[in-house]
Amino acid sequence: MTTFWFIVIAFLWTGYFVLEGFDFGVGALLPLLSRSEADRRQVLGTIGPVWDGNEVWLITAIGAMFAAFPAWYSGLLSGFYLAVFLVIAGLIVRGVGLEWRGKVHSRREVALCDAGIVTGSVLPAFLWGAIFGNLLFGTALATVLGGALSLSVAVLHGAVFVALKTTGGVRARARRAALLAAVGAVPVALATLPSVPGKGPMWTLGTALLAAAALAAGVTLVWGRREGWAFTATATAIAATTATVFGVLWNAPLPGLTLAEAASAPYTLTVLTWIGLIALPGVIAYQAWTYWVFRKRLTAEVL
Amino acid sequence: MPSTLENHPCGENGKICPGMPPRSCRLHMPHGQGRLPMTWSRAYVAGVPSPLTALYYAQRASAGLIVTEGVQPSPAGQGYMNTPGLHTDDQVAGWREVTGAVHAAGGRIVAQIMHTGGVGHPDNTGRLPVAPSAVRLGEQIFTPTGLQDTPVAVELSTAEVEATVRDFATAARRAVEAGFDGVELHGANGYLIHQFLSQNANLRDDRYGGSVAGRIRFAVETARAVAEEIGPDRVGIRLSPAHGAQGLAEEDAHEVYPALVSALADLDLVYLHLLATGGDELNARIRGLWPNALIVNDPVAADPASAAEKPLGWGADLVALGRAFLANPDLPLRLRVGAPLNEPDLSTAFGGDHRVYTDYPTLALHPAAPCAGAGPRRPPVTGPEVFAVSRPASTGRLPAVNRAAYGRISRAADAALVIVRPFLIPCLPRRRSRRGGTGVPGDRDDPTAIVGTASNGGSGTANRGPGGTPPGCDEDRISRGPNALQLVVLLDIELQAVELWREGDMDALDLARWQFGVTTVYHFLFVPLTIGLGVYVAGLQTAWHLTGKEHYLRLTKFFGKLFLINFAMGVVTGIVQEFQFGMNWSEYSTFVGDVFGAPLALEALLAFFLESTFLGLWIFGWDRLPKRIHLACLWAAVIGSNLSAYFILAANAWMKHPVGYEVVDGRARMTDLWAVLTNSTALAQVPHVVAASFVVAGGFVIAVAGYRILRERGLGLRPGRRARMAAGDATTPMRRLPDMWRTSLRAALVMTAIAGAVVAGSGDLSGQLLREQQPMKLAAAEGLRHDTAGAPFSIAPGVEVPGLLSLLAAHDPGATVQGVDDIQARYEKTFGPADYTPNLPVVFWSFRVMIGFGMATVGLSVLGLWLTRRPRRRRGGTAKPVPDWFARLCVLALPLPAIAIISGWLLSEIGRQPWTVQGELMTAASVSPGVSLGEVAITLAIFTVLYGVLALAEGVLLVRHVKAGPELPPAESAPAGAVPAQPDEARLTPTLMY
Repeated sequence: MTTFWFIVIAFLWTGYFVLEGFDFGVGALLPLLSRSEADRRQVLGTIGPVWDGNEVWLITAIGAMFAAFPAWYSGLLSGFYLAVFLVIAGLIVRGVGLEWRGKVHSRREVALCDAGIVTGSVLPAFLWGAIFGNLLFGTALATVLGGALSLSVAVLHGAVFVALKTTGGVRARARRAALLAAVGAVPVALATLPSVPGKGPMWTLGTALLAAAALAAGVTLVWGRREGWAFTATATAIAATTATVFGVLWNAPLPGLTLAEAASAPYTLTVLTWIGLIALPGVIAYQAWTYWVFRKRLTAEVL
Repeated sequence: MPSTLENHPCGENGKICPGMPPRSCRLHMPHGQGRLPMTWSRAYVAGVPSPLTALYYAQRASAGLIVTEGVQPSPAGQGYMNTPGLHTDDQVAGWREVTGAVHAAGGRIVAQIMHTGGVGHPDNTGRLPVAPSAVRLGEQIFTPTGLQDTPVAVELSTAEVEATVRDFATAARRAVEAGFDGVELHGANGYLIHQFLSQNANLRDDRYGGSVAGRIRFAVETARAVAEEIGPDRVGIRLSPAHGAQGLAEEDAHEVYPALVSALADLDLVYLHLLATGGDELNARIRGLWPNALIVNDPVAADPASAAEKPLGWGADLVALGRAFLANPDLPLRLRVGAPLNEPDLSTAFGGDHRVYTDYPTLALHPAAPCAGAGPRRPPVTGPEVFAVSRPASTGRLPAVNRAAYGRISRAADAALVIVRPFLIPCLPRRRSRRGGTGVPGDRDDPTAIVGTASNGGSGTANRGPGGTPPGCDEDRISRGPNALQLVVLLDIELQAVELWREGDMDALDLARWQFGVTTVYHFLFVPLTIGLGVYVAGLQTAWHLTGKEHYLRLTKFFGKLFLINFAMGVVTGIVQEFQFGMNWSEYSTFVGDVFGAPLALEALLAFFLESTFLGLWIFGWDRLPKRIHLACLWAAVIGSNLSAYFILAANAWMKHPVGYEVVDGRARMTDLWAVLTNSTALAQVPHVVAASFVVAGGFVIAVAGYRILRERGLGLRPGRRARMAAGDATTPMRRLPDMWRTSLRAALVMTAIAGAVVAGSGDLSGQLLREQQPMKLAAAEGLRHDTAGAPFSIAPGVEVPGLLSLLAAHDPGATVQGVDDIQARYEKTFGPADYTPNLPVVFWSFRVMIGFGMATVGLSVLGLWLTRRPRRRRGGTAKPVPDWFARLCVLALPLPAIAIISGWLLSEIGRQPWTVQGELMTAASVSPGVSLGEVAITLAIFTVLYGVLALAEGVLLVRHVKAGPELPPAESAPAGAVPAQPDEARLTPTLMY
């Protein structure tokens, strides 16, 4: 049961990183992809209906950790106290920026909202990678590399998403941004790759290689203007990376702490399992429906 | 000590832990470094103990039995950096200093001989580690350059195995030469002897591998060789069945260990130090097979009650209580007075940051706050073994060797000295002394210089029986079982790094409480509005859908926008809550996660997803979704909001009235989710808070509508003032829609009045539950000092209505209500000494403000309904217009209920203090021990500033949109030309927002 819940939590984090990954990327790229207010609105329109729901993946992951592995939850959050605080502060300013952007009046206020969106996208995107890098390897280098990896891949993922969801100048700029982001992401990914062997179970090697391959494929597909497939590839890369990270965390989610020690009692896990099994498909279904409703490319005219 | 701590390399190297993530990152902070005893890394040059080592152990001489940290029997036995050895003459000479000092202080000391086998690294020792087979053991190991992967070990040849056996014997001989009282063979924790026992580290096909008999051979031969060398009465062994350390697999532990223990029993070793990792059945079998002293350490049990009583229950002779001492530096005092115990934070204990060991609050050091830390209640330990704790200032008496580094050394250890003396020393296992035996060393009554202070405190000596016979050693005591806690403190190297950080504790706790208060109250300003306003907006849109009347749509969009501005704040401030329990209250989270985490997880899964996803659909779906589905999306989101209120309030109710759980191993375990979700407290609290939220939202709409009515009449807020209008303001009187605001006002008045009735009814129910479940809160709300029949209620201080409190709380004016002082006395009896009284003035006043302001709001809504009533007889007759004065009064409906609901929250949460979980866990014991004052100060400061700015921004946005009024219907806005109040951005994107 602890195994199952570990997988559930890994899945929730994967969902979070894949989904919020492009939100972060889009937010971070906002000033670079836009030449005008209409552009900016088009860029933000791509994540407008979905970012809040994507963020709930994080809340759910954290909540599930609290319920299923209390010691892991409390150890992680209190251990990375300031880093987690900065993530939250980032999410606050980003959330407020996104929500209020359309409701403020002057250009200065809009610019303030934009600043909040950019800061609140870059900061968590970097910090999550840094936190997990530090958790796995504990060195300053791993911390920085982890942060650089998550930030650069998020930017790439976001750029691909914008390219997929828009038309015109924004789309062209997003494609160029994606290629540029790849220039950053690929070397960082290659630098982190050698640290994987021997770290966790054997299959993590596979997922790590899959992540690298997916990243490479994503870049190639962007080059070939196949944005839909490119997005699938970058999403796969993020999912495989997250799987690798959690594969390594499997033995010790925190140093000196085993899953069994961290876990809640079987009763709690069983009850949550049944509720989760019933509810999660529904959640995935209606979130998928959201993406279906907003499946069309956004053009400047629509907005 | 818990197994994983022992020989953890972290302890031996002051600057260590570049690789230990969470907590130890802190070590790199300047303030952390200065406090660590950096010199320890120089204690072992070439494996030779220094005078510092002697000092360290001597300080702990009266611990009864000191087992040293792991000492390698040969160069090949070393795995970690800077560990001591027993294979050269210099080392023997160095140890002689140590044992001499310990003996001089009246202590006993045995050397723990540890061969790390395959756990090692060339960077530490200059050689590859050796092991039964060429496998990789452990994951990573500390090296001078940080954490590195362990290499694949070199397989020992059969001849080398035999040589290693001799190494152990030689080392034991040297140990005796060095003055040790004996040796403990380290056969646990994944090191060499243990490796031979396991299935996956020992793949040998010679006589040391294969079958069970083969795999135990190395352990038995080693023990025999050592016993023959120095005599079995000086040899103990440590085992950890099925422990899993260093990745060892022992699927057949139930075969291996009985065989091993039987074979060892034949050798007549003096003691077996067993980690109770093998499960109850195996433990019992081992007990049955082992005739001599059995020392048991239960590394899993988190509280000393179970850690001690359970093994004593199945026959352990002595119990090692490492963790309890870690978390309770003043454990003896706590046991004596029956005070609650701190729970050790296991998530941090192994992290390598020594400072976490020092963050636990103590009783002894905070006389002013005698119960600073609290844990599950436990009965006091009483009887002759109760003695006072004197905290010896041993460090002050020591020669001034590096006093700076050692000045802060563990008061924990000092306290341990005192408690173990009367129990343990006389009971130190002797041959065949499983059930008692004396053997009091004569010098015990004459502790000499170094730890003389330990008994100079008086109590330690005073508790010995006359004639120097210590109590605690007779058969009766030993066999008494669970309540007679017999303690062995196995000090290991970790403790040396314990230093005092306690002075700052209370401050960090206070700041953490402030931070939680600030962020939660702030969050709670937005949440009620979201809950209530969401339903109101959904109602408006439904009305539009049903009637098709244009002004409903305009109202929907107008209030929808206000709703969204507010919703954003609710969401972003809510994120903080989900994290904050873990960040600032890790002890609490670990204790309650099993129960409290479940509703939170359900909230996220069942409510937040619903709310956020469907709200996104509603905001952006105006043009893309069929009308009906679009409306359903809003309702789904609103249901999500209210559902989330239910889950979080159920979790909160559990803190006040815990149900459906049991405490196992110091953690609350859920036994019944349904009981948690249908907690009587929750069932009273949910309607109370949700209905109050509708009052808040109703008040908000009333205020907005009143203001709009005034404005469209061209009136200002103050009587006689005209409204200031911008040129072309969309709300100039000419353009107003006649009944729009009156409609929205009346709808809000109805909502507020009905919700107000629900608030009153559920509040009454809550009051009655309080009397039963949280009598202290009820007493504090009235400031009632003593148990009183027919308790009065003070409308204000001095204005009492006799019997009203009893009437409210029990529906009986003569009923008895408990008083603060009497409850305090009863709690002290139950839970031990502490201050169980919340902040009385705050609770007293928040109760009155809540009732007063809440009732004022409801009164205002009833008045409004009466004023705007439609005359009954003349149906279709014109309804009365809203009087100007009432429209002005309406504006008050904004702050009144908001203040009332915040007051209610303060009453509820401050009235719960000092508990986080009523009767189970105290607030002081809930805080994160590893988060420093500075860190909380930083985050609190940033939160305050950030929240202040956001509140201001939200206020400005709301006021601006209220002033601007709803969008104009296209027909009207077209001739108006440029609408200055709607700048171009906003005008461009109506569809973006709606």
